[in-house]
Amino acid sequence: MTLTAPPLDRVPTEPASAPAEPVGARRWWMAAVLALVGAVAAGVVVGPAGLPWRGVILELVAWVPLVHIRSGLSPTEQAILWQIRMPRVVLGGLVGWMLGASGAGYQGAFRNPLADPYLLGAAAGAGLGATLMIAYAPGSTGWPVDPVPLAAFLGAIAAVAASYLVATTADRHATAATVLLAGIAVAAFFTALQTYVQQQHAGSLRQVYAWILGGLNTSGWHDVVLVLPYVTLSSAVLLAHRRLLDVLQVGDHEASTLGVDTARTRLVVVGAATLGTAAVVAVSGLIGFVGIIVPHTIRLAAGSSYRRVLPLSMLAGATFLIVADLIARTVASPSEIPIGVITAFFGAPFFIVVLRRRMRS
Amino acid sequence: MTAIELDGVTVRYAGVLALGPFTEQIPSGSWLCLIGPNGAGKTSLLHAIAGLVPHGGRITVNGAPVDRRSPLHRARVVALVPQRPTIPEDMSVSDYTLLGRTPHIPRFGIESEWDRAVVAAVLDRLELGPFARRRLGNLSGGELQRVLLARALAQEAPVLLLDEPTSALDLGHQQHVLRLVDELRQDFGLTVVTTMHDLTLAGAHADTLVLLHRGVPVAAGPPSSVLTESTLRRYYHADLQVLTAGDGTIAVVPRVGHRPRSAGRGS
Repeated sequence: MTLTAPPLDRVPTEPASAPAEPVGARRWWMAAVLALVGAVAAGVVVGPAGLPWRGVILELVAWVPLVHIRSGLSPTEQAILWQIRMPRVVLGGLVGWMLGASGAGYQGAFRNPLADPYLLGAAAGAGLGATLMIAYAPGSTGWPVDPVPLAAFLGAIAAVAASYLVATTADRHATAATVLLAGIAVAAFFTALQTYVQQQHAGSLRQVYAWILGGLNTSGWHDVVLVLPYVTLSSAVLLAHRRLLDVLQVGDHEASTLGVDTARTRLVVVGAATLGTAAVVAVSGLIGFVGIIVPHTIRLAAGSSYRRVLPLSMLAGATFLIVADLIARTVASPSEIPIGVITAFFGAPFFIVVLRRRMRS
Repeated sequence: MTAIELDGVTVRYAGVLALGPFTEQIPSGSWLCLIGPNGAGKTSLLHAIAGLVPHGGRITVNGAPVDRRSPLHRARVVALVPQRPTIPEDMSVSDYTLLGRTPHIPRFGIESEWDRAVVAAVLDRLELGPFARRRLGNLSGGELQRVLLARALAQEAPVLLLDEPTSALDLGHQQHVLRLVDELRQDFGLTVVTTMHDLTLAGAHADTLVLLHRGVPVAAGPPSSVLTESTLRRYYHADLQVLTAGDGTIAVVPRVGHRPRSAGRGS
């Protein structure tokens, strides 16, 4: 059958055309971009050093090629801007971007709006890896790279790989339900191991706890360079699958009648989301709530299609974490509040408000 | 021209034979309806044609065996509306219909203007244009059934498989949906294969009925030859009568409070 001629001929009035994006969705795109720009600006301007906002903006404009203006910032202020605040804001943006994207990817792959990037044990694996390294290799001198992020990265990958391995041995089709159950089991196992190691090395408890709560306070350009390739690759793969994530929403059976290899699609999406998540948690610790609240809020606001949810979750995740970090480092200045506390403290009430508004409408 | 050729088709679940052997040739543009008691193998046959379950024998759609086609190519020739579809309630009608374009969009691509135009045309054709932005969760049963049809139609597949398309609808919506399917079949030359429990509606719309019993076809042919009291009583174990109106329309009605009779007003 081809609809080329008949249906278009039978349409009674104008030739059928569907707009690319609903008007509401276009508004959300603009809002997401503007919010990110605003968050970045606030992130670099606000801080204990009290940089002049006009000077910061001129300094940023001067960074644009072929623009030659003087910002008026002193060398010290320039160093604070470019070596402390900007890498922290960029890293926060990348971590939030990735957690938002991974959360959306997991939620789509498992058809579960309550899924988050840590669903298949990434957090438990990263926690175990970091705890092992803190407990058994304290000080970490003499390593070519910082061993704690490396161990966290490998732990996260190992946990999710183990979940998939367990699932495929139980069910060769690796259906969503089987993978989820395997993930819960593996996460519980890794958490138990981590707790045991932690108990055996009580002296490292404070350091492990600090890592688990997450933070961006030790970041620099080095961390940005470290995670950028993973975030780029992972984001590209997830974006390429955003339409297929919509197809998965009708269930494996129906999706396969539409020509989609559901098991392969789920594996690739989970693989990409895990790679990106493992990379960012390795440098930021286990920042919770972003991966679940951001995609879910986007879904409530801009519709459920992953063609919109996924990219908007990236932008909103970046914005959310930059703002959360700004709050974390300013409200109790000069000390810092763990960013995970901020994401939950502000994220949970915001989410409830969004949910109530949606339910009422 | 034959659209679907079924040659000794069997379906087994955990080694137990659920269907077959089943042999039938379904002409292009025709409507074949599978009837039979629960568990007769109707859905299994639809799933075998759609490539959802492994099968024995040979199933050919438009000249090529279905099991030799890739899932993507199979989706371009066979569209299935399942009996109990998974409904993503938050998805809009237009986004859901767009899923039907999946076999025509490159794996990592996004829908083209043409895909959107096809979706809009299908929605208009099924009078769903005003519902395009509505959430699936907010639709009535009749509207939802038309949306399911829209998604299948957007696939532009020449073969349309409908598993109990009217089971959740009231009488008016049942008629509306089946008339719509018939119109679409004639407009686009679709080959339609359905399963149905309502024998009156099945007889009113299908060219050919195949009565399955325990996986085996026990009667096949035009409705007047299959919908006979003796055949239906034998395989449905039901007390019923078959009435034939002056225009040849057949109605199968259950008897209430009567003993089975050997003959009614009909056949």
